[in-house]
Amino acid sequence: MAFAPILRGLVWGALGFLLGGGGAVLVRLLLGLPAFQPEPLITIGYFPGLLGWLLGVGAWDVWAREWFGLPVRREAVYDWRRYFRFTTDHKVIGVQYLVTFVVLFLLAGFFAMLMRIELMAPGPTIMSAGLYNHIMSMHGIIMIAVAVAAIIGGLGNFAVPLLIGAEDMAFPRINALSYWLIPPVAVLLVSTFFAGGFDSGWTAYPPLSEVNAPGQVLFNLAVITFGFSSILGALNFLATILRLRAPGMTWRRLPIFVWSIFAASFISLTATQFLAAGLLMILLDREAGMTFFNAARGGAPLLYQHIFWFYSHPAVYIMILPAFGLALEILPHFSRKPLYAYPWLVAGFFGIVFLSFIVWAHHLFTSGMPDYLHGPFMATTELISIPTGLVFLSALGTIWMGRLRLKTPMLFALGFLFNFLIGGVTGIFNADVPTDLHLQDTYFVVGHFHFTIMGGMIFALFAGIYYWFPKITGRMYNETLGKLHFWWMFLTFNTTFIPMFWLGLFGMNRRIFDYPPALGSVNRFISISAFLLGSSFVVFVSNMVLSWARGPQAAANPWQARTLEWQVPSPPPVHNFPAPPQVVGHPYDYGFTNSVHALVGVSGGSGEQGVDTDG
Amino acid sequence: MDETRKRAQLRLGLWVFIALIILTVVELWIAFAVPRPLLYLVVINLADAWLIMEYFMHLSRMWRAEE
Amino acid sequence: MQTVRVHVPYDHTHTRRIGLWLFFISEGFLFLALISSRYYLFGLSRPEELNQALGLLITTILLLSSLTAYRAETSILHGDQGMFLRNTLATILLGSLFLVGVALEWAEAFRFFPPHTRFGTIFFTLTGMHGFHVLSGVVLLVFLYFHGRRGRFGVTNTWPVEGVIKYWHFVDVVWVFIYPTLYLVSS
Ligand SMILES: [Cu+2]
Repeated sequence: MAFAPILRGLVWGALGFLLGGGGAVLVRLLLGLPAFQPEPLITIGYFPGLLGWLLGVGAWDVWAREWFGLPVRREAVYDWRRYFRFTTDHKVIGVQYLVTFVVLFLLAGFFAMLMRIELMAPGPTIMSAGLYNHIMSMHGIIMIAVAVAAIIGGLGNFAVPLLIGAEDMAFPRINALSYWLIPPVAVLLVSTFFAGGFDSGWTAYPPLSEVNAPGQVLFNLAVITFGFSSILGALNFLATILRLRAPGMTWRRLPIFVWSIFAASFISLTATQFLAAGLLMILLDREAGMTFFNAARGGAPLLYQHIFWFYSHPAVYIMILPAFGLALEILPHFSRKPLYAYPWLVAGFFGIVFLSFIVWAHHLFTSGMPDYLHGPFMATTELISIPTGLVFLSALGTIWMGRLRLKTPMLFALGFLFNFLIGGVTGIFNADVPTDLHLQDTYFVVGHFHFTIMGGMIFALFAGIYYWFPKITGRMYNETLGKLHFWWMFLTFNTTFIPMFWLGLFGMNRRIFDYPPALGSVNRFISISAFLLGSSFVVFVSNMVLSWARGPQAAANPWQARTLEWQVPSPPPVHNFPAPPQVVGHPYDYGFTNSVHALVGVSGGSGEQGVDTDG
Repeated sequence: MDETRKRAQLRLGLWVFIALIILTVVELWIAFAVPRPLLYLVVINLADAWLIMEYFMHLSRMWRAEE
Repeated sequence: MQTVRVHVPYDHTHTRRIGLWLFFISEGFLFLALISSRYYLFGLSRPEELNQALGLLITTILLLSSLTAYRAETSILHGDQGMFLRNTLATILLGSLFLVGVALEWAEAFRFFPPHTRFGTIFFTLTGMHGFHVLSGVVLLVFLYFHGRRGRFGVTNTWPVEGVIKYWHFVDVVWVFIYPTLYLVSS
């Protein structure tokens, strides 16, 4: 039975939930409290339920049995069924992540379409104000999850061990665990529709998040679980990159995508705990009568904003650093030139990591934070343009005078640069206190954020998907459809989000279904653009599905790239390399005669390994 | 000789424990004898944490290649 | 389908150590968030109702349990099964005693600063979160004890012992910072 592990996970999860919830009811009865109170019941039942799910889906067989002195049970499944199992192969986990998050991306995009229908005209059109806020919150949190995990969890899992010449991740079972924590997150978020929804956005600011419907509790549990998953993922990447590099893979020869995952993992590992702590405090306020953020009882609502942004500002770099890495990984291969200023680029990454921890309060300029903090946080925020500038200079230096091959991955990487430039420059107006006082909570912020995350991270994600599609599936995607997807998405993306800057300057508030009637025509234009943007993904999905099913066989190295993953057959064999590859040179030295990146023992017939076949 | 190494290691553990207890008592004394003790407490905590991490958790072994 | 695996010769125990330390760093940030909330909400003031004697006592108990944990690890590294079991058992007992101490604290705290006051919020959250870590450590130690009784650890298989006991010490390090945060800081 293909779905037996999942079914068992559901059954064990339900049992765990009943056990935990039943225990809570029992304790409450013993203490003489009213037995049934839904919110604490859900919260207390959830964690044993989660444990039951994880054990049932496979952690018991491949892991927990050994804690009881029993031999572990591993099934050798190599067909499509392994994607529905607690598989420990990093390539399978990468595909699991990728498919899950593309589906979630489409779901959250569907919510965005609903929002744009509502915003076609001022005043109520198709939904109530409350439902709009719930849909908006769902769109927000799911897209945030996609942005945090799609590149790192999907492409990172697939590519990092290959790029560094390893057999698998350092902790394959933890890797599987961090993937199987994701389905409960999705289920919890979708089930908020049956618990009154949550209308506090993905930021969940109190006081609203402490007084709204029980859907908020499901949201908090979902995001805490998601945070746990990304902490475990980050831990695994750090240990893998520190310990499992192939012989000769020195820090100066590390592919740039690996560097970016390494840098982003430092942030996920540490800052994510603050998000979990903040959301836990909200639960304690709601359910245990505590008073972290409850001003009426002496708490401080502003504390939440500090804790939340101490995670969530660095989190935008969890999203964007791997996107930088992905774009810069692709640029040299398709420009046939070395990566420009490689050491400075790495320094730029770590400059961003460092600065990202000391800028959080730029989100609090209008929240009533003491005035003397405005200047310092404005200054640190604007310092980030220096390391980001290094990244851009490196990208420009790489494509400068290059022989550009404008294949789909390259187009998306270039589109990333264009969009992120707009996103970055408009960020300055949000970082400057005088302009931010005017722009805070308007569509200007919405435009800025979507240019960085959708125009940046999502474009890089597509670049990476097209780039590694032949390696992942063993088949080639359709280049015409790929290019069509790029131009369709690129143009409609810009016509959707550029007018939002204008709307914001004219005072249109975000996170509300209504706006002044004078802004109607621009909103109509944005909505129509957004529908066109949404329809571009039909091209993407059909290209992916058709090519995976019946695309032409892909060669081992269709891009004539030098990095290690292209030196093995497509798709790579179970243990990646027949023997540990010997790394002897820099990965991006295109155009240097006799320059070799690595010696890979046996290969699937891609010609001379690691030699620049172009130059 | 293995026995003497073991005994030496156990004795080291005991000394670390005694040091920790002394630091804790000093901490308590400072907290009630000194106004605004935060800074001193942080320094003592860092010393405590270093003792535990270095001698009980073998932190510096992480940088040694052998073993 | 069988593939011959070619392993890169490397020390997996060292990788596990790195993973465990990374986990500690991550957990450290969780406690950093909670500890800094104390200063944000309550500044540097210290309630007079705190039971200082009990606070000192449970701190001492936890430090003592770290010593016994250290002795357990040292003895298994030298192959001394009996001493390992005795010290593991002592650590379990001391850890449980610590939890009893926290329970006594809570009983008093409900009277003086219940959870709906600012200090109560901080006190219950910090001791609760730390107590949860102690509890999980005790559970892990119990597993260790029963495996140890079957003679599953020796000079060659010490990673489970090392991992659990490192975790126990980490919980102690966290308490080292929580103790003054709750009991000692004053203005
Ligand atoms: Cu920010």
